[in-house]
Amino acid sequence: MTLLPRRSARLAVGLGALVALGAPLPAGAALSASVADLTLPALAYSHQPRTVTGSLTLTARDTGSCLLLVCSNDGWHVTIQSSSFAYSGTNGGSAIPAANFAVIQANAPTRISGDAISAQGGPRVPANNSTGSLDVARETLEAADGYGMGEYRQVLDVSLAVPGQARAGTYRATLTVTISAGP
Amino acid sequence: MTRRTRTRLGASALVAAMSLTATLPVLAADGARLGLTPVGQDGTYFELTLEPGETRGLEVEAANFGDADVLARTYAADVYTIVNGGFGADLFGEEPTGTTTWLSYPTEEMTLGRRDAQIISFEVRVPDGTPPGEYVAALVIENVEPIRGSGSVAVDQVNRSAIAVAIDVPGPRRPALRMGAVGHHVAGERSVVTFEIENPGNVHLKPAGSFRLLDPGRSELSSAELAMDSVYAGTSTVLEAPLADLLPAGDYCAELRLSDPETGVTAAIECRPFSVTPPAADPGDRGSGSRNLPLRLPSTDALLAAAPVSLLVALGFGLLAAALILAARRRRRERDRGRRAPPAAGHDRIGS
Repeated sequence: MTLLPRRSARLAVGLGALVALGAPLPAGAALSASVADLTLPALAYSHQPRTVTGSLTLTARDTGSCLLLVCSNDGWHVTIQSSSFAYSGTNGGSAIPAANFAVIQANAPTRISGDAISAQGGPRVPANNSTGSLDVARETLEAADGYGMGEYRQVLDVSLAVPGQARAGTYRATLTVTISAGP
Repeated sequence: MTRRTRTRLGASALVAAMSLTATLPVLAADGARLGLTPVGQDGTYFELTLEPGETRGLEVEAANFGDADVLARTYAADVYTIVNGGFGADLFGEEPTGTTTWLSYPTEEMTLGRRDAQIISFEVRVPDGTPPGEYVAALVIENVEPIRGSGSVAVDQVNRSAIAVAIDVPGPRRPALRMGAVGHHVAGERSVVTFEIENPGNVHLKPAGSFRLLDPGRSELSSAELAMDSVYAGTSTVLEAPLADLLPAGDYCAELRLSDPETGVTAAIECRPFSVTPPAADPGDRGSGSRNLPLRLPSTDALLAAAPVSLLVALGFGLLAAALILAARRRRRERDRGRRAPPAAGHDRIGS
C-alpha cells in the first residue's frame, strides 16, 4: 500500500454537499454514522434478574459521491453490534453477555438536512432485522440507491437484561456502529 | 440517635437517592466521522469485472469529515451476510480469508486531521483458476481509540465506515438457495423464530417470501411476509421472524417460502418442527436458601444503592428506641411525681 501526500482539498466537490453539510474538504462520499445520548437507568444491586430500558440516538450522514456540481449515491446501510459487557471491580463479577443487550424498537428516522425522506427509498427502518439482540450486527436504518443523501437521526429503544446478583462494579461494552455501501 | 449520626444518614440518603435516580449519558455527543471513497470511479463502492489471473490497481480516499483529529485505522475485511440479509464486514482483528486475500490492502493506522484525507493505493488480483461468480470483500475505516462511555454501565463506541469491493468473474451463473434448521430464542422479551439460510450458488440473492407459525394441530398462530436483503454467494445466515409476544413452552412448526425475484431461485420448508422450552432459571438467581447466599458481601456501592431500605430499617429502630426511651422517661417521671406528691388519703381528708 502506498500513502500519497495528504491533500487538504479537492476541486471536484459538489456544491450540494458544500451547502448541505458545511463544506467538508475531502472530496469523497462521506458516509458516517455514530450514536449518542445513550441513557440507561443506574442500577442498584439486586438478587433478581431485571431488564432495564433506555434509548440512543443514531445519526447517519451521506454527502454522496460528487463530480463537479453533481452528487449521487448508491444508498447505504447502518448496523450496530455490541460486545459483551466486561466486568471490572473488586467483587468477582462476570461479564453480561452481548445477547442481553437488544434493540427493542427502531423508530422512524427524521431528516436533519439533505434529501427528503422517501417512503419508497428511505432512509427507512428495514423490513426485518432492525430489532433483536446485539451480539450480532443489526441493521436499523437503510437508504436505497439514489436516496438518503443528507443527515438523518433515528431513536433506538434498547434494553439490557441484567442477571440476578450481578456484582457491584462497572460493566463496559464496545458498540460498533457501521455505515456501509455495497451490493 | 445522635446529631452526628443523623447527619451521616442524611448524606447517605442523598447519595443513595442520586445513585438511584440519575440517568447516565454514557456516549459522546458525536462520534468519529471517517469515510472511504473510491477514487476515479463512479459510486460509493468498487464494482469490478476481472478475469482469473487479472490484476487491477485501485485507489481509495480515507477521510476525516469531523472537527477533531482522529487516529484512524483502515483494513480489509471479509464480508458476511448479516441476520436477515445485508452487508456485514468482519470486525478488526479477524483473520482475512477468501476474496479478502485477493486485495493487497494491509492494515494501516494514520492520524487524520479535521477535514483531512489521504489516498491509499492497492491492487486486486483474482487468482488463476477462480470459478465464475460474484465475489465481495470490504474496506473499513474506524477510530482506533473507542470513544469512551461513562457510568457503571458504560458503552464505548467505534464508528466504522465500510465499502464493498465487489468483483464479478465472468462465466455461467448458478443461483441456489437452501434452508436448514428452525430454532427459537428470546430477545427483548419477545419470541423469535429462526431459520438457517444458505446461498451455495455463485450469485448474490435477495430472497423474499412468507412465513407461517403453526401449532401441533396445524392451526395457524402467526404469519408474515418477509424480505431479506443481500444473501451473498457462498455465505449462510439466519432469517429471524420476531413475534409480538413470548411463545408458551410447547411444540410448534414453522413454514417458510422464499424466492429471489431476479434469478427466480426458490426454496421452501413445510411445517418444520421446533420446541419452546420453559425459560431457564437465571444463573444469578440462586434463591433464598442458606447454601445459595452470595459468597461475597455486597460492596460499598451496593450498600449505598440499597441505602433507602437500610434507612427505613434504621429509622424504624430509631423510632422504636426513641419510643422506649420516652416511655421509660415517662415512667420515671411518674415514679418521681409519685414520690413527691402527698398521699391520696390526705386529700381525702382535707376535702372531707
